[in-house]
Amino acid sequence: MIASALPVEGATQAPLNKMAIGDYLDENKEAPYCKGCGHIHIDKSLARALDLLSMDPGKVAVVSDIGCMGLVDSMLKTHTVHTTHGRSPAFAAGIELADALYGDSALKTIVMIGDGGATIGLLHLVELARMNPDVTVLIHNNFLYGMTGGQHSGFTPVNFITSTTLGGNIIPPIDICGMLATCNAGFLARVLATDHNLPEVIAQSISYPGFALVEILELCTGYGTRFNPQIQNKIKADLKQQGRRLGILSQDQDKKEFAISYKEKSHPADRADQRPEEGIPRLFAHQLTAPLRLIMGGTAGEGVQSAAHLFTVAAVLSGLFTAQKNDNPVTVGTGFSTSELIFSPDEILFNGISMPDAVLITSGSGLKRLEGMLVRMNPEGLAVVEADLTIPQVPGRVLRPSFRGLIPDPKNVNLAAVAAYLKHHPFLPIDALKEAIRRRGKGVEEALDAVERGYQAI
Amino acid sequence: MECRQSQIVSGADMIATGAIYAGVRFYAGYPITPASTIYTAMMSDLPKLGGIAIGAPDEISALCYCVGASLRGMKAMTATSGPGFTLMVETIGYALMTETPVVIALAQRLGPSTGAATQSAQGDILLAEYCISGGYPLPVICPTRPSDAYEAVIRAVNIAETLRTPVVLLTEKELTMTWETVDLARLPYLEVKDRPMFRRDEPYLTYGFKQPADPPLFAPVGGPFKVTITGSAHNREGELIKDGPDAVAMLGHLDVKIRRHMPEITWVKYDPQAGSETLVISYGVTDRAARAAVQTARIQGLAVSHLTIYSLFPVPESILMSSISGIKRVIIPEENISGLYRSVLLPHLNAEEVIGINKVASLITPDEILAGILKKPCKD
Ligand code: SF4
Repeated sequence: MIASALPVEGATQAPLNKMAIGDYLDENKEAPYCKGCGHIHIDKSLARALDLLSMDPGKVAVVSDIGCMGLVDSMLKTHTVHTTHGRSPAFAAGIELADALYGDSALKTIVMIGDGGATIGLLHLVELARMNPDVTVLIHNNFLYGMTGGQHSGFTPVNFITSTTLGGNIIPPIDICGMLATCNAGFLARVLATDHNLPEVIAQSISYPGFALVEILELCTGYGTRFNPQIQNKIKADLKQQGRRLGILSQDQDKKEFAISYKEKSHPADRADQRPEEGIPRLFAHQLTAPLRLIMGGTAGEGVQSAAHLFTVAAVLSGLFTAQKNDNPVTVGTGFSTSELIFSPDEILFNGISMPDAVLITSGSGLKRLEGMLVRMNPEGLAVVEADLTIPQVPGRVLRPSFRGLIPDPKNVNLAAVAAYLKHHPFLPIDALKEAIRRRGKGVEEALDAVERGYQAI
Repeated sequence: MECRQSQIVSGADMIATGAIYAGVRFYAGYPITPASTIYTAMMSDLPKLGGIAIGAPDEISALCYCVGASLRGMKAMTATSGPGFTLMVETIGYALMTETPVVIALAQRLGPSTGAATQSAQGDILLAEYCISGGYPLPVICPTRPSDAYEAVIRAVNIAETLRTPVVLLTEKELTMTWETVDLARLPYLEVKDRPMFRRDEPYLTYGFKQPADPPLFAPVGGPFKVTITGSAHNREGELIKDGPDAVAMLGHLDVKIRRHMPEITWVKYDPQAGSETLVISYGVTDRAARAAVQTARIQGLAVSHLTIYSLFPVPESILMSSISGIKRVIIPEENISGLYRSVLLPHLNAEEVIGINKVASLITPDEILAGILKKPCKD
């Protein structure tokens, strides 16, 4: 996205050019940090990097996190978005995606986050590394939470003293670069805030067309050096001991930016295309004068809910209003599967069922689930229950056809039950059900055959 | 009633359809029953319109993505259920403080905690309204059925955009996961409204409202005017200030910006009957049972008035006041243990009796509400 040539690492050792960085950073404003705090080096280096890349400050959004480093927005002349703690990468992703996919893709989004923010927002960093949007993240790692009084973070080294690790920290720190290297991150760098080439490294991370992260190690003079007087001399040695290199650690030019992959892959044939615009026509007549409440149940995977759906389409083809609610155990592929159906000549108000007018049951797991409904069904109603099953006393009339053995594919057993019900309570014509099947357009022959067999079964 | 363009659709379908009509082109989601069907509908429908629909690693990210996209100028929305909503609360507060339009559909299920994913409930109504640290008003719009879910989401998006605020579209499992016949030809026509944009050449202030009730004019991050967004207490420039008149003015603005726009937010259906001393007030899924109960009561010759509230918050006080005149008994059915909305409405209901019909883990039936209507008034 950023067309400027990459600066050469380490080429500029000269002091920062105040005139140039003044386009990005208002130097008349007093830096809001303690004396000696590393944050100001990073702020100035960011401004210098933007200058090296000749970027329009109006085309840069700095998304800052919570913490002392987050105060940077008061000095910046770019767009600034000061966010909640740890969430800055996620907000930045939203800005970047909208810009890349819906805007003019001219905006560069840069996240300024501390080690505390990177701790609480770790998942956002992992996700951004995986997604690879064009977002640059600068982690200000000073090993603790400065703003709240020097507490330890997920980045605090072992033995480091903070206000909450008075005897020295005992939990090893997150190696963010090492971690994100395993999460598809394309550009990773680890540098010291005092390194002379910091502006160049930041510039390279900004130029990188995708997710780029720079972990910048620095010291909090408010707490870090006060609690750990010798730390200044130990940082490099500690890093070496942990096997953590300094410099640009990886820069993979072959990774595809998220927005590009999204554009390539985001146009599948979809559900909306399957929804005919013109609606379901009224081709048949129904016989209902009051709502009919029906509940059907069987074994998951045997097409209960799709048979129920076809039943509702048949009803709409016959000019009825319908409602369908499905239920199944937590996992959809085992145990029972049920559908509650309401058919009504008028718009349906209450769409629950306390006393069903009809119950269709095609298997043992369906019976187990619906037994309670069966015994309290409308005495004037009609039930259809597979002949093999043992059922309690039922108030209404019960038909006991044997669908198993009659229907070759168990997936169509429930359609057969619907057909058997319609034969004995023809509130809409069986042809409407057949028309619904034809409109579905798949497995038509087998389904029509099952309807025929169900219709003849009893 | 003759249908002209009948379809079998779920409430989730209608929410997605309405959102797209209202101009939502950014959706980020995380799966959770019973809101997942909104997520899958948007994932399938938005990309072919040139919109963006993405999955997030959690609900926190989902809403942050939406707010980021909205700051860049897109109309954005997400959907979740109670457990996910609690994770989003931090970002809802941020959207409110930064005056960033966004719609959060909250499809309720049985709580507390994981509760029951496929059990309908109306237990999150106060969670939705009172989730803002500091106590600022958050518009909450609540449909009762698939056909008005379409209207509800368009209204929610319009309110979010024109007032620059997060809006909660409060719904429940019974709506999102029930497939019903809807006559698409009968869906209402609603005007789509956009956020007020800054276009002039004078210096731009990110939060530069003129009158306290005015939403500030919007300029996108990355656009021609420098934008200074912050979730911290701030002045009109977006500079951090924690006290003093500018900070207080800003906080007052966040409150009156919503409260002084009641005409744009208020949405009720008032169905009065002459001489009635009983008023049923209902919302959400329970409204359907209430309507059936009121119908039956009237057939039996009883005079009953009925008020459906779609804009639950801010509470439509003036309509409550006018609908309560002459009423002795108010009946408020809700699918929660203690009558959550009843507790909010109580100070506005100057009636002899306010009766709650409450139940959890199953639908309140028309008969249960009818029994409340038929009960002889208390005499003490
Ligand atoms: S407390 Fe530490 S991190 Fe914060 S400004 Fe002071 S030195 Fe910097």
